[in-house]
Amino acid sequence: MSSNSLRPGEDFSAAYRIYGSMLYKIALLHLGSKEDAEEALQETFIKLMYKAPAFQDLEHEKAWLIRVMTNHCKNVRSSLWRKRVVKLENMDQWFETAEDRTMLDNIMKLPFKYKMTIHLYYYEDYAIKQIADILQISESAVKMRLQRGRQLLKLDLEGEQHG
Amino acid sequence: MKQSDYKRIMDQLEPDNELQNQLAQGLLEKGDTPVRWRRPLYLAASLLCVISIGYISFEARKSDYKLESVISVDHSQKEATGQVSPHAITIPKIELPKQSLEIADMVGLIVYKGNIYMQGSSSITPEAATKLRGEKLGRTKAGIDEYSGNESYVELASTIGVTDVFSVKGYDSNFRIMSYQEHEGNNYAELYERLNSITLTNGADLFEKMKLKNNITTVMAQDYDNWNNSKSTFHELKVDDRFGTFLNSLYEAIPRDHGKLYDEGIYNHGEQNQKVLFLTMADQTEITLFLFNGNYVQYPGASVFFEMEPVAFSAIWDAIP
Repeated sequence: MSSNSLRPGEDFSAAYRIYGSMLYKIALLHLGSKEDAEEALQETFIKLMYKAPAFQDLEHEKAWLIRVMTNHCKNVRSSLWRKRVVKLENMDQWFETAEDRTMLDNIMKLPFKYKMTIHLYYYEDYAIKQIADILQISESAVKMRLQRGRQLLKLDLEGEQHG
Repeated sequence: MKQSDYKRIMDQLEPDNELQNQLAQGLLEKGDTPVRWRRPLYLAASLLCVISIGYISFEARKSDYKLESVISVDHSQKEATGQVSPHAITIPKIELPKQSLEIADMVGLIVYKGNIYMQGSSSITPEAATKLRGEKLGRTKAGIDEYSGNESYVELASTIGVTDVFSVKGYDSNFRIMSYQEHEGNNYAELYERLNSITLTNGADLFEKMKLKNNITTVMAQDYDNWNNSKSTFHELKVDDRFGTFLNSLYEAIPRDHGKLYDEGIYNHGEQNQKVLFLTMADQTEITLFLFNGNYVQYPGASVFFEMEPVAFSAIWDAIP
C-alpha cells in the first residue's frame, strides 16, 4: 500500500480509522495531555499525507507511523520542563474505577524509553526484533528495557514473552 | 499489574469522537509556521525551576541516539610541548545526512559556519539571555527534518524554525551560540554548542570553553533516584576549596572513549553509579554534569567521559547523599 496519495477527506479517513487510536495512545502515554496528544496526531498525519515514502505494506506503514509519532513526542519532550513533568490532564473521564486510574498513573511514571517498549510489546504485540527495528535500538536494549520496565511497573508478565 | 490490566487501561484511552473531523480540517488548512513556538514556551517555563536544569540530553547520552558521534582516538594530536598526547580523543564532525535522518527532528540543532551546533545541557534564563546576547550572527532557516537531504544543510539551517542567532558574550562562538527571540513581551533563548569536530586532550579542552573556574556561584546535586524520578530533592554543595579542587582535577581529567565505557556497562545500575551536579554560573548560565562511579564525569552532549583523580572526585561524590 502506498500512502503517497493520501489527501484530506480521501485516504485520511481510512488511515485514521486504522491508526488513529493506536497513535493517540502512544502520544498520550508520552505527552500526558489530550491537547498535546491531539496535536501530535495532527503532526503525524500531516507527515503521512505529505511526506510519507511508498510503503511496502500496512505493517511497514504502521511501523513508520509509530516511529514518526515517537520522534515527534521526543521532540516535544526535549524541553526541560516537559522532561520533568508528564502531566496527567483530564484523564479521569476515561476511567470507571480509581484502581485503573492509579495503574495509569504508574504507567505514566515510567521513564520514556521503558514506557514505549512496554507498550509496543504488551499492547501492540510486537516482537522484540520488530521493536528494535521501530525504535532503532538493539534487540538486547529492547530486552533490557522490557525487563526494567516490568520491574518498575511490577508487571506480572515474566512468562509471557514473545519474539 | 497483569498484561490484561495494561490492555484494559489502554483500551480506555480513546480520542474524542470529533477528533477525526478536527484533524481533517486541520490538514486542509495545513501551513508552515515560521517559528516553533511551543519549544521556547516550554523552555521558559522550565527555566523557572532549577530541578529541570539537567534533564536535557539524557537520552542523547545513550548510544541509542543515532546523532551521537563515533569517537576516535587521535594519537596524532600533539600538546603544546610537541609531545604526542596518549589520551587525546577526537569527536568527529557530525555529518547528519549520513546518519539516521529520522533522528534529526528530535533535537534542536543549527548549522553555523559549516558545523552543527546542538542543544546540550547548558541553559540560560531569559533575563540572562538579554544581558549575554552578543553580536547577531544571522537568522536561522527552518526546514531540517527527518526528510532532509544533504542539500538542506546550508548555513544557518536548523530544526528550530526561523529565529535570530547571536554570539554569547564571554564565550567563543566556535563553541557556543544562542537562539533568541522576543514574542509578546517575553524572550526565549536557548544555547547551542559545538561538541563535535573537536579534539580533547584533557578536561580543560572542554570545560575551559564553559569558563567553569572561578565563575560558579551555586552547586546543587541529586542522586540518581531523585533525578530519574524528577523529585525536587536537592543537596546544595558549597563552592569552597573542596569544590575548587574538584574543578582543578576536572580540568586535568583524562578523556575516555564513550563507546568502550558504554559497552562495559557504565550506564547500568544508575542508582548506584550516577549522581548529578547542577552548576549555576555567575552569568546565570546553568550547566549539568553527570558523575559516574569510577571517577568519571560526563557533560551530556559530548560523547566522551572524563576520568578524574580519585581523591578529588570522591570528595564530591561522597558529599552527595
